[in-house]
Amino acid sequence: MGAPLVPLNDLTQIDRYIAAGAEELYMGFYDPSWNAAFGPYADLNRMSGFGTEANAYTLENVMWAAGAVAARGRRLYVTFNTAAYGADKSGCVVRYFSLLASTGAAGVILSGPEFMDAAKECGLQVVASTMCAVYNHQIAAFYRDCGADRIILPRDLSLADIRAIVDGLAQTAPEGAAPMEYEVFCMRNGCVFSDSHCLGMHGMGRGALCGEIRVGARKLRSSQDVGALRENSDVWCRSFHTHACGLCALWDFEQMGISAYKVVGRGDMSDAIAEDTQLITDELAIARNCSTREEYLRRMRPHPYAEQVCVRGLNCYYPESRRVVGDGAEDAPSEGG
Amino acid sequence: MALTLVLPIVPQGLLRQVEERAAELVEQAEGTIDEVTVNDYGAFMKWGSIAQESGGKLHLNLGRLIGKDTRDPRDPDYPHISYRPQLLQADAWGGTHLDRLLQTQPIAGLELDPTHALLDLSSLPAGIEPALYGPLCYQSTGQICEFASIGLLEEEKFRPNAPCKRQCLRNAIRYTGASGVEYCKLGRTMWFDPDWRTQVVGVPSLRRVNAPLLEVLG
Repeated sequence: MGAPLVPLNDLTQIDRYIAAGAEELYMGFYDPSWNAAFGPYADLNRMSGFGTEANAYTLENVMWAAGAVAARGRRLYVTFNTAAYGADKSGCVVRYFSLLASTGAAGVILSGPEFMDAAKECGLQVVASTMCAVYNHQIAAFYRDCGADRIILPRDLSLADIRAIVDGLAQTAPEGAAPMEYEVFCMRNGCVFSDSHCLGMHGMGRGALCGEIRVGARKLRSSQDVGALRENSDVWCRSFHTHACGLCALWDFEQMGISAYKVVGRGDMSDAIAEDTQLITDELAIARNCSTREEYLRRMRPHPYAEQVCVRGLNCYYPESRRVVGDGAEDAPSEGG
Repeated sequence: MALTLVLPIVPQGLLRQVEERAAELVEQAEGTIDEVTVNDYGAFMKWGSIAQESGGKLHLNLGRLIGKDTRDPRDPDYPHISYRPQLLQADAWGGTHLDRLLQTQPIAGLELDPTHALLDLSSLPAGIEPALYGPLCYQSTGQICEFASIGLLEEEKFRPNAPCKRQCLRNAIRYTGASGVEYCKLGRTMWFDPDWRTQVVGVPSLRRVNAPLLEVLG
């Protein structure tokens, strides 16, 4: 059975998130000595460019948090998920791993195969980030063979593809091997691109590419119908994935044995994170008492901000599982994927 | 004339189809297709094994999406630093990530984008031929195609790897971001035209790959 995985950017919120149902938390940290060693352009994690907005704490703070979370019977993961790290950073990264493991961090979220051995040697669970671009079961097998214990599946995969990756990897699992864990995106902060291969600076005072193009000027060229292109582009830029949500897919994910449901947003407000965590917890309780997807979609509670999130159908992480939002009590379930 | 077969990152739903077609092409064009370029580690392992078994008839290249070096024309300084790709950055003992990959599969080539004005490839192992794409630099891509949704009802738009009518052949968008930098979207991919000419140092030769996207963009 899966559980919410929640971003932790305020150490005063640990108990609040746990009360909302978080079994696992994740966070990053900043370290001035990292940039002193590797230069101003070397990100320590994917959100380093957003400064303390997304990485509010030092390594020492995170080490404390690891112990605090472990003492509460939960797990803390630490992100090392910038797009690429050179081997020149090995010494520093291994030192971080060792320190984090010593105070109870459960695992590290890694963006490539480079440091997976080192993390295992420190006794940390290895999570292959969405930055690893596990778009098919062959790529999943590569990361399994590198030592990954868990794979975070990218946002831009259909439910059918996710199921096929899970099944495909299971069929090639070595005998006696522990089953792979999977984590999926569930709430907040969708992305119009593939995180794994969006290679601009992520932050650095300018925001990410996706934000840049949403508000920038556009010149459209079409040999067929520029009006249709413009209309489509307007929807893409202004309305797509502004409040991403995957709650309708929870029944399917429980059937697949997904381990963790990710709430995205290390830079987001605590109230919103707690609320979304509780939403996942509440809907999971319903999903686990349903025999079919259709039953779940009928019984699940409407999103509290359905008018904003659901009505146009543009915020669904997994649109093929979407519950149709209607006016009456008997909302018809959508076609499943 | 010899051909290089370049493979994209293939989503699960298309994997078998692409694998079968790629194998068919290589077999039918034996001797003509003498290289396969891969852009993910799953294909790296698969085609690396095929290359090993080919007895030298087929070579494996690491594609431009393997390295994932940051590139960003919005920063005035970053593109003008002397840059060594992450795969070639060495640890305290002189080992690189590329060295580790070489321990698993034979690699004949490494493809790069013109991410910086100066690319230092001096730690590239001998026997690996570097290749530099141009004129445009890759920036970002995704499995959700904006163009494929043209004409669809709103609630049906923007699904990953949805069937399409190849709208990308008839549509393109140029964005001028808030920073003033211009990007173009062709298909699912975002590109920019560097305002620098990339110089590559530290290698005896360089293959230049011309991707005529500007001609397509018009």
